[in-house]
Amino acid sequence: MSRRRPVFERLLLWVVGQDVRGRSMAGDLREEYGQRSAGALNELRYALSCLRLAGRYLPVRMLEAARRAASAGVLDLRQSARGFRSAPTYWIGCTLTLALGIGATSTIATIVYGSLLEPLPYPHPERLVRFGDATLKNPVGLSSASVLNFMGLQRSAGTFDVMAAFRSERAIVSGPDGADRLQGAWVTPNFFEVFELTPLAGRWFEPADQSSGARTVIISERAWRRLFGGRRDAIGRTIQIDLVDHTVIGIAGRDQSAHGAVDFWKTIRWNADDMTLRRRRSIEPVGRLRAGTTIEEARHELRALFAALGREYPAENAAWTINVMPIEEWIGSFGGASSRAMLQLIGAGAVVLLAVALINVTSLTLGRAEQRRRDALLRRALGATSGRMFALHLTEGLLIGVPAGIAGAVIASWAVPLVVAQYGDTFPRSHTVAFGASSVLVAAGAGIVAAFCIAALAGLRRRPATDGLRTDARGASAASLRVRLALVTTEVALSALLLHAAMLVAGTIYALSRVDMGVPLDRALTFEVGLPRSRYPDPDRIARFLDELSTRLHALPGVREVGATTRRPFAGGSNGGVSVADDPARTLPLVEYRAVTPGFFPALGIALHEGRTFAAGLGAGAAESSQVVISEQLARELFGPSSAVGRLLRTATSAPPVEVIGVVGDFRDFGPVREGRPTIYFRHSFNEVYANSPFSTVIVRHEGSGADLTLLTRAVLRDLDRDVPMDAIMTLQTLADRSAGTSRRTAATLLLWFTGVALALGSVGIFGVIAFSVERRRREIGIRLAVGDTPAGIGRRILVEGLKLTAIGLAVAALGSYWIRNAVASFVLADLTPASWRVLAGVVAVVALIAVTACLIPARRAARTPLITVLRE
Amino acid sequence: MPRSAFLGEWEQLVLLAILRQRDSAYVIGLRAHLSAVMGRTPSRGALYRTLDRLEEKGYIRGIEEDASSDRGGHPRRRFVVTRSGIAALKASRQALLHLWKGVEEVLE
Repeated sequence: MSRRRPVFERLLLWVVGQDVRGRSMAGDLREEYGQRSAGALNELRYALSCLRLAGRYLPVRMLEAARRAASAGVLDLRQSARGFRSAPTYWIGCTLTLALGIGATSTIATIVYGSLLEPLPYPHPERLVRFGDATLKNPVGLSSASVLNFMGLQRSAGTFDVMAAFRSERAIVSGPDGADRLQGAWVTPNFFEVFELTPLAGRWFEPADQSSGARTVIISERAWRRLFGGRRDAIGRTIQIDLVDHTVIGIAGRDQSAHGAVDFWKTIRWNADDMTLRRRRSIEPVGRLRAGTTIEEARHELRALFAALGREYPAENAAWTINVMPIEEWIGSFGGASSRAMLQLIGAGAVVLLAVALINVTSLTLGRAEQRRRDALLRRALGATSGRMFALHLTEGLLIGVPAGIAGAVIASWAVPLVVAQYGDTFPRSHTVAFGASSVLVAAGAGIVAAFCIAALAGLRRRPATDGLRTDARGASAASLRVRLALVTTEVALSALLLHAAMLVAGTIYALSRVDMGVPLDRALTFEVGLPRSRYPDPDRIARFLDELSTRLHALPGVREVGATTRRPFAGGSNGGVSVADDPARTLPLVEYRAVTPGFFPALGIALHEGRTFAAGLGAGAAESSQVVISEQLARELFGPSSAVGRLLRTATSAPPVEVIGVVGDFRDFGPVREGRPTIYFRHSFNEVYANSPFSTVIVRHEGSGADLTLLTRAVLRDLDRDVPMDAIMTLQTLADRSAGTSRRTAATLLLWFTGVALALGSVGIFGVIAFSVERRRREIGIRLAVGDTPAGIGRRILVEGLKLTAIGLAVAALGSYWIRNAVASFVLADLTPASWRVLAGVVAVVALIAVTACLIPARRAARTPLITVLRE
Repeated sequence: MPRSAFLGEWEQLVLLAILRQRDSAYVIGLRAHLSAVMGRTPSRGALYRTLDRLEEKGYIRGIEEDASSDRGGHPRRRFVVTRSGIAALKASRQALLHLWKGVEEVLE
């Protein structure tokens, strides 16, 4: 065989190896085929033989390589573990630092994913829509729908497979294992068809459930666990809803509640108003589109149908149209736009924290790599390849990253439920957010990424080994110091940015807490009571209950005033128009309506300005059913400087005019963020506006600390009616704080936490770098001391070095402050928040103080360097 | 006798072939010899892997010989059976003879 055939031979040698075995094999083939006659066929046979032999040896070689790598890995692992055993502080420091960052990131990622990104658990979620009436002024809004309109649409719409509706209600639900006030929904029997899920146990509703009048109920998995302790025999058992027996026919799985935290479903029963009053908009429709139908097509069809309804019933529908939105968008809008902004902000905060942690770890790693520089260079000199060195560094990185990932996952598993419990009401779908596979995945990913970062940085310098061995240590460590300085400067900048954001949001909250609410906030307790409809079906009984409750609470030691109202103070939100009876031109379209007991004004601390307020006692109540008390703002806007007492007003809800009996002071009923509106007060449970409201907020104004007032109040309530639960117990101050925006508070709290950790890490970073720099310059310091520099001078020099580092970091942060202002814009009220430059000044002061503290120890150490030791070194 | 000392059929054949080739036990010759004895040509891969295995067990030893031009400059390996290889062969032979004893009539 004359011609060379290097390709196949090379392949064979590559697979089998260049050793004597491989080469003799190649030689054998050459010899064998060389002895035969030349020709294309022979060539082909030779090639095939090479390939076959290579194929035979490939798995063998792969196995050998894997075995070699594994044994090298085990060796690396042992070596790294030994290294860490000799420097446990480094290992523990790195792992804990990283674990904190990973824990925060995994927690926030879990929440962001669960509330914003996770696909809805329904089959074909893209076909699910929420629709409802919208005003022509704001056709993209979504209001409740009228039952009669809904039925009309249901009959004619062709773009929908199913159209259903629900009405949210809360009720007291008691089962064998306890009673609770739970969120429920009154639904049309086909409601569950929309979502296409199967029940966990039992069945969904059938039309007969509505028409027969049978009292049946479907409960959520959560309610099943709470009421039945998760027992299998719950189907067919009886629970009480507002003290009326209902039979459990089904249990809905967790997924069913993805569109809202509902714990029980009952079939809706249309009442006389529903079937006669087209203007009464009280149900929330949902639907499933026909396959292949787009939202636009559905919206177009419903709007056309609604326009026809508008022509038929112009009085009720003329100003209205209809809107259809994907169910995902509707769910995502829970908590408002600020909720999304909050999640983005704290998400960014968590990532910054992780970055700071990572920087700290890599900075520590660089310092350590510097200490072991000779060891690494020796390995290179002895023939360790770059790959081998990287593998060694990666093993070290993994020894930090993997435990940190595990610890981070543990932190997240503990923090996610905590954050959800504490701040769940500030973001959508919070009840389905749970620690799970995605959280572990994020933690694991972050741990591995960290390991690679550590490995990459530890082997940063790729100079020839011999050069490295020959040169003085200082050249190399100067390069390493430069990298570390850059890293720590970044760390300072990131911490400062985080602090800036946190301080801006916290500053707003502080400013809001200083806003005068118009009423004293201290020494007042508030709670909600919900009266079961079955026992309190009429205003008379509600009035008697509230009167009796007020009398008994008043008798408690230290209680000064007791009052009740239909809605919580500072929550705003129930309004209508008011006009002067004898001058209809004087009309105010947006007036807050509130029903109160006589004790409400003194209990909340609203002063009487003119006339009188409602008289105490039930006897007076009936006479006052057509009398109202108005706020000063309302009096001013309707009557100007003239007296309002004795004037007659027309309200949106009652035909006969009502008489003004008194004018009281204003308070900020919308919380500190918004100005209060003019308000009209009706007599609770006597005026028809709020005659039947089963829920009331009670305000108890007291003396002293009121430490045991909650217990005493609870006892009084239990004594009065043990089936009435006491809810949402908090001080008036807390109520006011909450009204300042819970998402703002959540963002500030979490950001402050992150900032605290980031600053702590940052100070460790500064300390590490300065200490390293001092260590590196021991000789220089010694010489300086020898030529007459004072220890104080040396210490000062070190401090200045640390401050320089901080100053650069802060300068970078100042550049980033523009971005921060935009990021927190939705939480910050420009007129209330301290100016950005003042916050920035605060940030500079805090960070500089921390930096100086971090530099003190190395500076002192440098100043105390014994001259003789250094010179001896 | 340890279990590992027993040889597989293919290992015995290769060892015996090396012994029979005496001082010229090269792969090409071995393959030709085995082919003549067995009536079919064994695959190169099987032969090389068996040689590797026997070498790992210490039953044979490969001796590197000078490269020649007809081999493209690649060396040649000659195999010799080691003492432990001989011992393993003997043990296998003994075991087989023992098992053969008394069953010839049945097989005839």
